[in-house]
Amino acid sequence: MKSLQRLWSFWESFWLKPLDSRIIQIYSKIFAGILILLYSQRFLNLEFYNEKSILPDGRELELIDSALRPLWSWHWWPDSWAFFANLAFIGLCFLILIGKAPRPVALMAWFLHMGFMHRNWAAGMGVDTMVSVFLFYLSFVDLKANRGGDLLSRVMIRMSQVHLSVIYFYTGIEKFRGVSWWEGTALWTTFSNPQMTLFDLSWTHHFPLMIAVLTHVTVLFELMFLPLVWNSRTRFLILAMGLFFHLGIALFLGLWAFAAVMLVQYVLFLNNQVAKGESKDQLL
Amino acid sequence: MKKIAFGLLSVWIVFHGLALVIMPSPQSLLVDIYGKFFGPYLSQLGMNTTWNLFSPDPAQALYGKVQLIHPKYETGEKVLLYPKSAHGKMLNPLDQRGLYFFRYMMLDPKRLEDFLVPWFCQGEEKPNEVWIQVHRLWVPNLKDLVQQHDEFEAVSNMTFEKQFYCQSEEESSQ
Repeated sequence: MKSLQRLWSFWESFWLKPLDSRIIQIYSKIFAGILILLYSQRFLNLEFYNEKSILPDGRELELIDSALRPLWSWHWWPDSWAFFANLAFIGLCFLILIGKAPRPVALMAWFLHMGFMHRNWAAGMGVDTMVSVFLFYLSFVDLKANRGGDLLSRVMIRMSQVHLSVIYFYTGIEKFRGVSWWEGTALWTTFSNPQMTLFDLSWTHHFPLMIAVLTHVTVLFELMFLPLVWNSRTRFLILAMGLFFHLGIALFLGLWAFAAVMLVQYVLFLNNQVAKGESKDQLL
Repeated sequence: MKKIAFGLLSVWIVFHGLALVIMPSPQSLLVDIYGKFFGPYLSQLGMNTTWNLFSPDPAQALYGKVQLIHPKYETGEKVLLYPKSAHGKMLNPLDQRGLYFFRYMMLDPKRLEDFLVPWFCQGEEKPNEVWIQVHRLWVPNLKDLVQQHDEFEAVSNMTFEKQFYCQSEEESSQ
């Protein structure tokens, strides 16, 4: 019985860790800023979401693999409203950026984001999926996080951290299925692909040792993120590795938005170091 | 009251956490058994994915060539290349969405047939026929390059080619 009580107490302490209001505000503002920059670009790609789209409105979910297909589409507006829907999304993110966003604002932004995702699944990038994940959790967080935040805010920030760890773990595991990751040549395949690089990196085949080491370190980093980020002694080491990892992706592969969305999640792990507020016993 | 709220939240945490851990591994027996509960839930939240970023092996470049056939064109055809800016050039970050879109379409001929061909046939151009080719840019494996001490040459291989006939409006109404 006592061990069950201890387990429950640990469960409560883990999920109800107080939030530091400064950390939550910094996180939400940077995240919102990134979303504004990223989705301002969508104005230049509206042909994937409006009447000109190759996918007819109403048939968009057919393009999604049946195992991954949602039960209904979050895309509810007519195609002619695509411009205004994107404008509204950016407006909502702006409210978060300036700190004038009550809780439903981020949730409304998430609904609009999902609407765009479902309108054209094929035009979605990795970063869009990451935004779906982390904007969802942010939607339930009171961004003021007074006195360590309420119940829901604390749980959602924790889930955000857990989800990030699971994502890294699976991206590492998935790479074990590929021969080139075992061989240490996977990054060469990426560097030699002109559709993946911002500038010519084909010269890198003259440095096979560098490619092999970077390939293996990539897998190692992704696999080790989960165990190391939850240990306060190794947290900064793995976050620093992640910083260089994502900066490399941003610089060489042009995936600046993906890198930015992943890196801003690291801010939440600073909360584990500094958070002070109502303890779980005061909260419950 | 808050204890009850946290109890309910704990039920959600367990359900959601299990979904996050189980669903990214679609071959798992657990997905066969429990996928019907977790799958639709995660799909609706936009989180049902395998997280196979650059894996199992990083992708090679794909190019599409579309020929629209109609006597109205001077040479009898109009040739379009996809993705537009990435054909033989480095990636323009502003074109990334188009690149991903056409790549996704070109990976499955059925998607081309169901969506791309009707779009061309019923669009402004109204061709009689649409020819689609998909090319993959093959780059030598780094191991081979190291052994041969050679400069490499990327080779473009055609992986798909098909001719589609467009129905006229009269035919499609019949």
